[in-house]
Amino acid sequence: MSARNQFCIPGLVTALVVTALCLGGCATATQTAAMAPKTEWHVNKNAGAVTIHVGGGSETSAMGASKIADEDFAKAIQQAIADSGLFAKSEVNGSGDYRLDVQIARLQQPMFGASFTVVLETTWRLSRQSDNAILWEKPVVTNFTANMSDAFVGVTRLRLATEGAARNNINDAITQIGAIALK
Amino acid sequence: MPGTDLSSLKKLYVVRLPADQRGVERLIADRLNVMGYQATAGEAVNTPADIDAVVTYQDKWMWDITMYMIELNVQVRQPKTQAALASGHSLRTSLVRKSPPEMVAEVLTDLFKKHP
Repeated sequence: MSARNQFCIPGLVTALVVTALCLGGCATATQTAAMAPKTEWHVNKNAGAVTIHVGGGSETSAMGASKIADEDFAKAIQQAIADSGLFAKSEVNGSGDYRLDVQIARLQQPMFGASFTVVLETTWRLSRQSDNAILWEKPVVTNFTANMSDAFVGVTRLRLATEGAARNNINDAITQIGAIALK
Repeated sequence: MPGTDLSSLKKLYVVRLPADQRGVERLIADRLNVMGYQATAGEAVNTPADIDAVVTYQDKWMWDITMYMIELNVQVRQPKTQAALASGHSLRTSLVRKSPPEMVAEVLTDLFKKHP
């Protein structure tokens, strides 16, 4: 083997491995479908329409950790409302008889570990559009743990834990709202 | 909260994160004072009764030759219910790191810009 090939081939292999590791290690955003709860709902159904507004979220940077974007969280909430029948109609940033505001207050994510536990704190407020009366307002704090068995790659494990915390958060809030009788 | 108007807030109290030994609560209070608010800082048990909102935060630090603040989250909360009215966030990895006062300024400017 020539002296040139002695260095070129191992160098090429190293470059390919590093590239693969980098690509495998890039963070991806949390997915709407993964954040929408898949559960059997038992809620009081309302005939009115609700408009959903979410704030406090962030976009995901490939070199950072998976974050929750406002629009994705809002769409997951919309999906949960549709699946549960909590309201007959729902829109994101639209109009309706009711308004559901959700503030993503705190997303606590670990940086290292074999298992990742993510904590999500949100504040939910349901108000009636006709007179701006606040019908229900509450902070909701949830968590989810993803283990090595869920995903070997750390960034994927973190995304799964973040999606799980979001899913639990929506589940808790919709269940609580579904227990009250709206007028 | 989306659409929440924070302009009526005057007196704020920054609650020190128990694990924080770097005085980040003082940086936040100082910056709020520069922004025109009447802000003080201290322990949760000493929260004054006459404040308009409580400010909480979570800071995260990493080591890369020196320690630097990689992430800062700040929340403005109703004093009675602790419900979050607004929140701000900054994430800066090592190559784009900023000093803690700069990170605080960045987060608070963004937070109050979204809720004028």
